[in-house]
Amino acid sequence: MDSSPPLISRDEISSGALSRQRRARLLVQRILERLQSPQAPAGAPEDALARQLAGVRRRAAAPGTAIQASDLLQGAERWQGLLPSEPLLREEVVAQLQRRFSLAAEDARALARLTGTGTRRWIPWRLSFPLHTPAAWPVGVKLGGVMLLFSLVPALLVGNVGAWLAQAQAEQSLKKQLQGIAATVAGRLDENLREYGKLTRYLASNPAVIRMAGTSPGERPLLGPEVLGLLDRLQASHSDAAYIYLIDRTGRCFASSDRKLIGHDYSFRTYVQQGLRQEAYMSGIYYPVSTTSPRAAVSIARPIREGRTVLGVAVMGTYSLAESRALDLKTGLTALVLENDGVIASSNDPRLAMGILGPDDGQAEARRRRISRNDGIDQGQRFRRLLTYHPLSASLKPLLASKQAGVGAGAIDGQELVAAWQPLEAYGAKAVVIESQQAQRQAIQAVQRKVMLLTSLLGLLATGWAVLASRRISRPLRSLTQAAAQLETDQPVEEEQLSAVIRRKDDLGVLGRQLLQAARESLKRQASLRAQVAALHIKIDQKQRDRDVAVIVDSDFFGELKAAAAQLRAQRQRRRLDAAGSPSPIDSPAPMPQSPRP
Amino acid sequence: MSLIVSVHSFRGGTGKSNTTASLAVVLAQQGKRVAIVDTDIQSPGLHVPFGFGAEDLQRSINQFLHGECDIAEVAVDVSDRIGPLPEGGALLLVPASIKASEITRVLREGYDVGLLQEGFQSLLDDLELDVLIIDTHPGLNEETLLSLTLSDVLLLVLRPDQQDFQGTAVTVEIARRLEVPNMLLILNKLPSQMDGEAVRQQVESTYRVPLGACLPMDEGIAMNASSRPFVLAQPEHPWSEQVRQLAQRVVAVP
Repeated sequence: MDSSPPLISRDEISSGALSRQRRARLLVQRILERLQSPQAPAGAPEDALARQLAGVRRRAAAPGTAIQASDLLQGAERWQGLLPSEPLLREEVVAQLQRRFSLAAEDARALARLTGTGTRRWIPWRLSFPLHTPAAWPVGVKLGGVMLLFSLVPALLVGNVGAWLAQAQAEQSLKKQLQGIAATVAGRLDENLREYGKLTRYLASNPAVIRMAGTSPGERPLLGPEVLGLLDRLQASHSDAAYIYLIDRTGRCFASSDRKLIGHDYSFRTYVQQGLRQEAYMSGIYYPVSTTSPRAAVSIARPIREGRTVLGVAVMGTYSLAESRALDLKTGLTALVLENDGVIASSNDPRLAMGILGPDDGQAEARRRRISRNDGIDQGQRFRRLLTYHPLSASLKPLLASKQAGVGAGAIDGQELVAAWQPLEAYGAKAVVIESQQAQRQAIQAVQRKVMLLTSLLGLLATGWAVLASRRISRPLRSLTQAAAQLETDQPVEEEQLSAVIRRKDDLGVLGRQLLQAARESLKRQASLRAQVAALHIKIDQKQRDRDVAVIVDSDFFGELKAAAAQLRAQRQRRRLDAAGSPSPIDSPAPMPQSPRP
Repeated sequence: MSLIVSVHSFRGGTGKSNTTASLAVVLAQQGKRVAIVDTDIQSPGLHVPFGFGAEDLQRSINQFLHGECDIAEVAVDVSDRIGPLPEGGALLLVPASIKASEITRVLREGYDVGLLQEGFQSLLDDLELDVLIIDTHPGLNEETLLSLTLSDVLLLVLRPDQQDFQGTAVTVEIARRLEVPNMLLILNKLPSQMDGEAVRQQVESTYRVPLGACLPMDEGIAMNASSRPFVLAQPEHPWSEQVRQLAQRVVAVP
């Protein structure tokens, strides 16, 4: 038997508007009728007998069930014209046909092809609303869209502003960091110099040194080994120490880590003269002539005193600018000591060491020839070194001119970079730290990436929040809509259906409770109405009936008819018997009443 | 064995003609040779569900009643209008004229009721009918009383309406006096809110006549507007199912 529901249920009989499902059901019924119809499509020859037999066969079975899926597919031309143009109704009709015939996947696909319902779906899930009519979208969808707009857009805005701010912040931070490194380098170099100052003071105040300085030249050899040993030890323990020697009050060297210097007269030297005047001395950066390779050095001198009497001068020279580890920095950073005239006294980058930084203004060669440094002495002849010129972009002019600490971006040798500098007042120079802009950009991009990641997370959170918030509203709305539809079709609305809604404390909760109440009252009214209708009594007015019957029964016509009735029936009975094969006497017709009055 | 079935109602508008047409279709679909006679000469309507208009009917029962033709000549085979029928199945229609002149002639001149009885018998014999269904004029006039008298089965159509209840009570009593052998009530246009079983019990206990069918009220039937027998328009409708059950009870009478 066909187990499908009746076309329209009893509950639906009195209902006004037909739902899409019911309209589809009506159309499916029409389709089934067309399939059962003997009328072939125009022009198609069909044997009448075969058609009749097919009809008998169909009616022998329960209506509708004799039609097979193959009939449905092969007889499509009979019913295709019935398909509605409204897409959702059309889909519902096809879905009902699929269910009714329990179509296999292949047949279902064939049906979809025939009806043009399978190819239109360009999204993987089935939308229950028309995408091309925004006005008909469910409130939940609209709300979700608006919430997404109002949460995602600010999130993206904040993210972008944040990225921009982070970039600016990172640039500032990196510059400050670079400045800090420059200050650190300068501090280390100052510390080195202070260390040598202390050593010189120590040497000048050493009792053996004082005794030896205060002794006449003839007696000095007695003290020589002790003092020379002290000098050698100092020299050995300080790898960047250039030389250590002691001068007596006549200006002659009486002890030195370099024995060749002993006996030489250095009274012409400024530091000797200054020392003998009881003044401490520190040279600027210079390049000792006695060495064969140009290395920046600094000399420090202290008077050797006994009480208030100056006995001589202790002198120490250091290559700490060139050889200390103060300029050893992490990879990617270049450190240099820049003299005030632009000469690079030392650098951890060999390409820059003993070069000149100067403006890129066409005067480079002239400046290069004017600013030169001692290139050592060979076979008693001094050489001057012409230094490599490194042009500096205009934006880095403060690097040369400023006496304050600073930072700036620009280019050296055309390479974009950021430079930070710190004055080395004791040396008359600056400590400079350079980082390429590419490295800085990479560092900034790393920060930006972090910010974008954060923004994406924020966006995801915003989206999630929008979806959740819209579901919080759309779900109850869906329940309410469904309940309202049930109410419309007089179906009972259960409390469980609306349990999530009626617990809410907002206006949706109020709506849900009111709808539930309305549904209950409607149900009561229906029950009451049903009871009233069901209680309809068949009341017969017996007296009236008897009067009406009497009027008819008492008529002549009725009397005659009643008299003839028995005979009429007997005649019919005999005819039946005749028809069944039993002979019977010929009857005379029963006398019938005549001429009815209109 | 041939059967004469009268379909009658005390008042008009009960859905008698629609019920008659559908019942006839169901019986024909069961392989019976069926004829339906429209004896509602004053307000004929049985031709409508089969798609006949005023110009389509060459002859009518009116001409037979005026002695102008045999009744068998009036019968129109409408089998091809109701789809393929099983072997032996046929449906013939004996319409009443819908021409105003012929209706007024009958009203003016009257006719010999005895002719009707002869006509019914001729139809049974000449057309070799299994079932003759008479669609009567509402109320209790003389030709109706004759139809009742001749019936093997009387189907009384009524609505859940006080006037119908009262009129049906009169008709049932008259039918009893005429000793109609089989009577079935058809309760039509039953509101969906009514409990069908309770109504059945009440009707059967009130009239002491079996309820042959309980037909629901439906806007689909109204929309069909008698354009075709409803059992053909919507064979799966509960209404149609009830008519099929009624047909089974009709042919099963002793």
